[in-house]
Amino acid sequence: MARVPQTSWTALIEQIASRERELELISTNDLENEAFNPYWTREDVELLFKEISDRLIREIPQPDLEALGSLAIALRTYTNGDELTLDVVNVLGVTISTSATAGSWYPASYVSPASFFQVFHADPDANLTRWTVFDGRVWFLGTSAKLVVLVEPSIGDYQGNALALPPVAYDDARVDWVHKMLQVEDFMPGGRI
Amino acid sequence: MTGNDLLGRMRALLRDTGRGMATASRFYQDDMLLQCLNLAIAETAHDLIDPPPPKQGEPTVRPAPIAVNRLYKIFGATSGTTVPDDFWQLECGYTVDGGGTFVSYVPSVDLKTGERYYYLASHRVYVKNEAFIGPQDYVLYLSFPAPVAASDTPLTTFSDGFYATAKLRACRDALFQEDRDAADRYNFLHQEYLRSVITLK
Repeated sequence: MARVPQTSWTALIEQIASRERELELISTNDLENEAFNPYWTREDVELLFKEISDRLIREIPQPDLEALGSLAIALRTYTNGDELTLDVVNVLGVTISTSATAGSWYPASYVSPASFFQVFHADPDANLTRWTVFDGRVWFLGTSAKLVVLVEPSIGDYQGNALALPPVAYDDARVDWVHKMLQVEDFMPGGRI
Repeated sequence: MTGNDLLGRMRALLRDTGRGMATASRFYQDDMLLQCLNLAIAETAHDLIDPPPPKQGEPTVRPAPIAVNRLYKIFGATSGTTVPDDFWQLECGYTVDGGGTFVSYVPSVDLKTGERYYYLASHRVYVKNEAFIGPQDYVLYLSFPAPVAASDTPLTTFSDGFYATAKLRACRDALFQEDRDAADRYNFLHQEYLRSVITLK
């Protein structure tokens, strides 16, 4: 059974449209589609949703996000020097394997790029496992590293109702937030409502 | 996230869209908004690399290595190599053996210290007259963020969330630029508020 969010992306936009009296956003009836209305286009609202969702993903604690089954938490395996793609916005935990055969995995700590070079020759089995990021890549000493990462879903994920921020509770937060943000953007003093 | 997306969102936040209006002319020119945006991106990145001291009543900015370490670049540079075009700050240097394997770390210092260490055995890497001086084979430097232009090409330097944050700062600065008097009054009132609210018993 496919797991889907309780509220779809389109339904969220419809909620906003009706709350903001911007029904033209979702209407297919040309008579309701005035040339320069609505004030917000569908793309505006989608971009706003994306911005708010990206912030919520950073704000919601990791255990909560995991409990929701969000696709924003992912486990990825890298070899030294692999590209850390732009959608990775945080690294929550790293374990490094120092040997391809024995498969011994050590928890690793982050060091700054300069420190990484300073401690480069420390024996990872005995002394210190560490990792860093520079040049858009993951660097460590070992055979492979498993990173638990926080991933920023793309707008296509949201549009496809992928499981980025599924539950109704957070959708309510988003609805409120959009309402406030759109009020700030409204050209009529005091907002539209 | 594209440059045009950011411009559109900035205009919306600054109430400078044409929707529902009788005119197509805009208050802000694209160039001016892009200038604000590119400055805000560099300043936000700088804050995340080297956070400013916390201000009273405002949240503390912490270093955000995952967000900004993408700016670090490796550059093959022996002594005398000119700095690259996007050079921002020097982090460190390192030497490699004949096979290209990392050998030794070369710390970076400022010019006056570098000149004094130059004739000692293990000297440092520093920048003099737009060139790297030192025993290193490679340097690690912070590159200046690539400028955003008005286009539909997706931006590739930072994640979307970073651009969304920098955009807010750009909007704030554009607003203050438009009305310096408002900025002064805001600063005065804000300081007065912070001073007065702590005296309440």
